[in-house]
Amino acid sequence: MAVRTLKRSRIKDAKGTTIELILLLCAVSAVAAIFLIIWFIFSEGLPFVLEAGPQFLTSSIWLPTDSFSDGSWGIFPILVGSLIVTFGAIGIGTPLGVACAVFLAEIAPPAVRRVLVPSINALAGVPSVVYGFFGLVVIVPWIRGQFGGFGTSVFASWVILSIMILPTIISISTDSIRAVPREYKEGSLAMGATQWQTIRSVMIPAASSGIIASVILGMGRAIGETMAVLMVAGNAVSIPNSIFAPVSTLTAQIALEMGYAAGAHRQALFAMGMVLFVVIMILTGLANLASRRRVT
Amino acid sequence: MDDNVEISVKNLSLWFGKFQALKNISIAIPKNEVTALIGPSGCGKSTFIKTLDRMNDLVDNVRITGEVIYKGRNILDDDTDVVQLRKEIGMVFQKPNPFPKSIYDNVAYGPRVHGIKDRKALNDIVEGSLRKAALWDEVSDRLNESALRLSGGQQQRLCIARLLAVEPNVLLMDEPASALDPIATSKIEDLLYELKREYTIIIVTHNMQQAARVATHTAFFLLGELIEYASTIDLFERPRDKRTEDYVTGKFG
Amino acid sequence: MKRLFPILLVAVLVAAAVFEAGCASNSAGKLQVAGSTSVQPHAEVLARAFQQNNSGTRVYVQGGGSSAGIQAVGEGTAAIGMSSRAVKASEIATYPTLKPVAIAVDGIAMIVNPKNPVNNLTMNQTRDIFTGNITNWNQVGGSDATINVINREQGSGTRDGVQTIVLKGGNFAGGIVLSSTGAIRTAVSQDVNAIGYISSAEVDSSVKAVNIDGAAPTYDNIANRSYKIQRDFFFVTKGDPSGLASQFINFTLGAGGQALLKADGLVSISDAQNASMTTSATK
Repeated sequence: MAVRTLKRSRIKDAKGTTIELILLLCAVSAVAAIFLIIWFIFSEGLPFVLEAGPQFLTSSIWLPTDSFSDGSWGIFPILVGSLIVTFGAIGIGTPLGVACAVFLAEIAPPAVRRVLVPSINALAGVPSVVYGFFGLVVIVPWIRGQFGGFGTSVFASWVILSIMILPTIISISTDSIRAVPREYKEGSLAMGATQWQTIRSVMIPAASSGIIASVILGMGRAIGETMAVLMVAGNAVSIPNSIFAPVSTLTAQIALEMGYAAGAHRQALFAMGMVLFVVIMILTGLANLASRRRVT
Repeated sequence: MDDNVEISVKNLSLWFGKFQALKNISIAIPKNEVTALIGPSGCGKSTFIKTLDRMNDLVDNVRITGEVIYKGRNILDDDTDVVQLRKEIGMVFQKPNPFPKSIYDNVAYGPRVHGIKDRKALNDIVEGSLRKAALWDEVSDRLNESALRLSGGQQQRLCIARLLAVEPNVLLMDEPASALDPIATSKIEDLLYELKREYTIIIVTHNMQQAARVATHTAFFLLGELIEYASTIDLFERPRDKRTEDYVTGKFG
Repeated sequence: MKRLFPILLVAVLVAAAVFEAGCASNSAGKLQVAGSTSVQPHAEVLARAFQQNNSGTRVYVQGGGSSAGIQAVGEGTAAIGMSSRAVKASEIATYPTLKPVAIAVDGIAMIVNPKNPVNNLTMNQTRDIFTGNITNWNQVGGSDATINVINREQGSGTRDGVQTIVLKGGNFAGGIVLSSTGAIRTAVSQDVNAIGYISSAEVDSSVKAVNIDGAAPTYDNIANRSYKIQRDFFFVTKGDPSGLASQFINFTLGAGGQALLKADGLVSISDAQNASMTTSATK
């Protein structure tokens, strides 16, 4: 009896080891793919950055198809453009998204929730080129009519990107608010707090780590978004002097010029990709740090 | 109405959908006393006290008939200010539920939502409430630590302190010691003894010894009905109803 | 399921290698043409007709821009490069045997919204608009409104053409950047105050092409060179073309090919006066 059990468990172990090995392989190949990409981007971009020097980041003159000369490889306005567009979209998208999440988790009757949740999830699956097209035919002409100028602008990018990051923020925030123990809510209400006070002072703080995670993911989507931004931003390489002025982002600029780029221009675009990568790492790191401090 | 009655319940019935959880309950809760509600699990004790501060509003598909008279008004009326009601009739839950905030912020939560912002006033309220809940000496040097680091018994006393900070008249306690060890339980019981001088307390318990120790009046519930309600001594020593006698002598339960 | 991943990866790599090899070889009736996106649609028309005339041959036409096309020919990955500009001295320096041949002339039309009252611009006004010296339509006889300048992206042959011919090598200032002819045409058709530039073959009724120095970008004006903003389209080969590449270029320059290009909106190289040096050299 005892022997049989032992035997069976040994067979099981062999099977388990095989499965573990396969899972390890999968994990390793995923990590390897990431490092391969990092290595590729840095090996293409880093030599260029070293040759171009700090002017690559600080200069405002971007004339890559001219011959290589000092100052004509400056991505400063593009870098600033990426940050303006990303933070603006987060600034608009976060309060809207959290408000929607509170509504869905705490206020909406089940019937409304049954309609809204699938719609919001569907929004996440819409291809970005469709958002871009919507922006181009609806938002851009509206801005041009209301405020003049091109219409393609910082503001148009904010509107489109904030809509695009909403599903991410809403679905993760809703889940984290609904995961707040019921006892917290009861405890607050039983002391005579109103529903709104309970949401603001207990539910949202208790769900804050999930909400921050959703904002980080939204930020990642915003800064990495290419096609939709390309269509509505105007792609002018200059620091915008108003929110209705055109702007270019790192991703859009790479996509715009990669088709033609050769030689040093191509390297410069890889260097831009490298900068984008570093910026995303820094922002994600900071956000993680902030959320960790919040939890304690 | 008798001056010594805090809450007067008349012909209260409650349904969850088609299931009748409370059947025609009438009871007068005396002021500044501890009243215990006993009975086997599922007899309606918890449902009953949740009706007294309208916490059943949070449950879908509930229907209530009858009256709950507090301060001369039927609190079941639609125009009752539920927020004010819950400020005056507070509840402590079976499982300690401090917020994931510091000890200080937990106690200051109630006063803050009711509009007190002055730092000095808040400090006084926090200290006073923690003292009343017999917790001050244990936590006075770590008010900014997370409340979740306290032991279960300390957490429950913190929840009581948190409630006292909003200066209620009535404390509803839903098996407040059932999740605690005997030492923590006896601390809570001592606390109840102190608190009844200032507050009307209604405690749900399935522990008859506890009821006998802390309560002046005891009500026995069975299957949604109030079987018997009397002074604690009478109920345990001279039960009038056979079912009460069977329960208090341990024949079922 | 996940175990498939490494196998898939290998399969993709092998397929890519095979494809790469296929691109490089021009034998067995296959011809690789790559380069300017302005020339690309016209080359595709030529390729279709050429394949019908020569059964069994395949002509692959890829975009990528003039620079990429010239580089591809220099490296030997394409047999013919398409270019919407003359070959640069720096490119000749890298690949000394490059041989360009002009196949057609294309006008670059300055397009505005049909509601814009401006019908004429001088070459100097056009330059000042794109370099940012003129910023209001009333400076060129239009209404009082800011000029919304729309550019192509850096590396575009059309942008290169405008920079060379209109700006005389000066730099663009201001304006937004759109990445295709269609996008620019749509933007101009929606914006009363916009100005952009596209191949004259692509002008339609949704926009209005303005006269430059009194000349409209018509077939005749481009052919007789009175419409100044124009560039030659080139096919570039490494050394003298041979085999299928030679056949394709001969077909393009012949009556049939030129008629196709004409029907496609370009000006036939045989109709154009003062055909550039490179053209006469090959004739």
